[in-house]
Amino acid sequence: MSILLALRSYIDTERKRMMRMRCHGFPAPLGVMGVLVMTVGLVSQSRYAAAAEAVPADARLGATGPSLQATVERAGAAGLPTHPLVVKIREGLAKGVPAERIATAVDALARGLDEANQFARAHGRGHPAPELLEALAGLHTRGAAWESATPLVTSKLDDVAASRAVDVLSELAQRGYPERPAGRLLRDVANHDPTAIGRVATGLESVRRGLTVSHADAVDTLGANLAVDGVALDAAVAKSLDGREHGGGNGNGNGNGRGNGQGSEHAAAASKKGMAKGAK
Amino acid sequence: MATRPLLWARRLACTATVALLASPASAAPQPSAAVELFGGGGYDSNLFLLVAADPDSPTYRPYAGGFLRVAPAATLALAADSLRVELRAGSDIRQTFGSGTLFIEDAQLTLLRPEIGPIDLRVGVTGGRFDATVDDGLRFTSAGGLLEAAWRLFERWRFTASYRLTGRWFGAPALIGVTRDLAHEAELRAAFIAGPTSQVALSAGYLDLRSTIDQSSTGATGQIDRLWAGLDGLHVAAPRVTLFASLWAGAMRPDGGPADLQIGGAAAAWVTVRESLDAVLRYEGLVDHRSADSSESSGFQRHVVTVGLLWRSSTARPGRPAEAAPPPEAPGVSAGRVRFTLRAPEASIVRVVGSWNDWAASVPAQVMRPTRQPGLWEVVLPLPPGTHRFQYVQDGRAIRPPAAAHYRADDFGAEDAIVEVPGTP
Repeated sequence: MSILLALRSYIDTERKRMMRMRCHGFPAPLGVMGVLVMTVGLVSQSRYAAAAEAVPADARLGATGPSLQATVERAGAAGLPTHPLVVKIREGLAKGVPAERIATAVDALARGLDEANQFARAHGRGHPAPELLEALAGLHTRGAAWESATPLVTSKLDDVAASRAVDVLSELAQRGYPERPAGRLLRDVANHDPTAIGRVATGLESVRRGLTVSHADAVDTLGANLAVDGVALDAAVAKSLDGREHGGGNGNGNGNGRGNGQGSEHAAAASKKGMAKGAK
Repeated sequence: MATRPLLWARRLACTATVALLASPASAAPQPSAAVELFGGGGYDSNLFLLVAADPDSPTYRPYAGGFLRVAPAATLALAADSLRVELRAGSDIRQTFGSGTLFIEDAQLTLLRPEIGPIDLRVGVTGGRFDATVDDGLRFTSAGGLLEAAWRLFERWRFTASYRLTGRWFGAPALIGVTRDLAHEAELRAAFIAGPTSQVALSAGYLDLRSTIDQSSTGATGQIDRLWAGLDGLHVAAPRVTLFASLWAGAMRPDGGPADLQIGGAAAAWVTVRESLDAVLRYEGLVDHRSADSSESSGFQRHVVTVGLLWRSSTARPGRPAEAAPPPEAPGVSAGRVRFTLRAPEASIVRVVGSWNDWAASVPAQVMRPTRQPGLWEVVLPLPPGTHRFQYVQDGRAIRPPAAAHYRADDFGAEDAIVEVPGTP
């Protein structure tokens, strides 16, 4: 039913668009072909999301096969993508994992997809793409809090771009970067330099190792330089490595003397601690 | 009196250094260098409070007026994955109008080890020299050490505890009336990182300064205790414009007498003019209200305004971070093709399975072939650009790839190796 409604809405929109294009001399047959192609695409995508895939017929699944199929079908009935569940079964089979363990992992993934669906909808993603749900479920499975993905899910990124960003967040969390700041950093990168999302992990590692700072400080430093100038990711990384972070390191400038001047004042963004020192 | 704190400081510094040096360094050390140059000028209402605690200090000279300032500095660093050795040296030359030139030279060697548990640790030694042309006696050398521990908490808080020990030896004690002094300074700081563009911090500190006034005759000492607390904040007001402000209040007690009340603050703005050039405007002020019972001179003030340009350059450049060289069996990627190799002398059949085709297990092309090297299996697969997870399956049993740049936990209690194929997915 929802597919029909979506199709009707799409065709109405397309008709209006074609009317507008006709005014500009756009050939009508191309528009009709476009409608057909898009319709096929829409239907196939809906199938991906809604219809339950079959569990691989493999004797190693034994008695767990039917329960796995039931899990997959329940997910499909709930409007969740079933492809990731089937892939998880295939992954387990390929690795020779016992059937019970596969079932446990698939159950956990199904729950994760359901929670991801609720989370995405609660944050304004009406019909989240399967890729996004899978990425969110993967993030949660790795122990990250749902809230860490809030900046990405509520951003203007489309579902596919958001899912890539969530995948990167998942990797950053696994590498030990604090999740919530990393989520905010990824949102900023997506806003300033969306094509650079895939390079964030490398950039952060450059900053962390180049400056020899903690994971949390690396996120702060890169985030500060990204926010200050609105520059591209690579420029922000370069600036961070130059030690030109604007976000931290300032003392409160107290003191009426600074000994023999240890720590020069020209390090303007560095320590401003005075020594209040002088021979008495 | 200062012996016991000194001993404790030495013990702490030794312990911290051992902890630093004992830490593993998994990647090859990367050298880097940076230079900075500040040039500018300003007005200072009480310049020699730069090195004197108050107007009664032997190092104090009256000067109120303009100054020109040049301050170059250079930093050499050797950074491994979890340890950094840094040497920083700089000069600060201030030319007054009527009171000579001040030459300040400093060097600092520090070891930094982040993430010893939740703590970032820094230890260092410092040394320096001060010379004022206005007075032959007003010169000294200094040496000291520092120990700093920083702790991140609740993501947005950073707590720092630091301790600094500095000794000064005066070049002409007969002229200056002091042979040496020793300062212990401790500071606690809690910074709240409100966001990438703002942070505020509360801090408090204590200083204990003891001077040997005349060692040859009386051996008498002078002493200053000072306690302060302050608030500071930093905010990026607009792209390329950063603002900083601080306010602090404290008490200074000379020679165990009545305490002076002090209040001070600073305000600064940095504007990024060009890629490596910042314009800096800074004000720093202090007002000392001396107790009526004090036998010392009356209270004093210092107000400094500095304007200048700060230029920086560094050899550090972004790129793929330095990592340990991949082991010989790590997958090799070339022009979209990945060579997988595994040493498995006892195996009768080995295949590679991965995420690129949804973990399909029965693809003939993924069956590995024995090479000329005994026990070594390999296969070359064309893979699409992107990040792929994989494992080997030897005689039906999954094997964690023994060599890969990264691993990621799978959902079955094991780990997949990661291979990245360059290009746009």
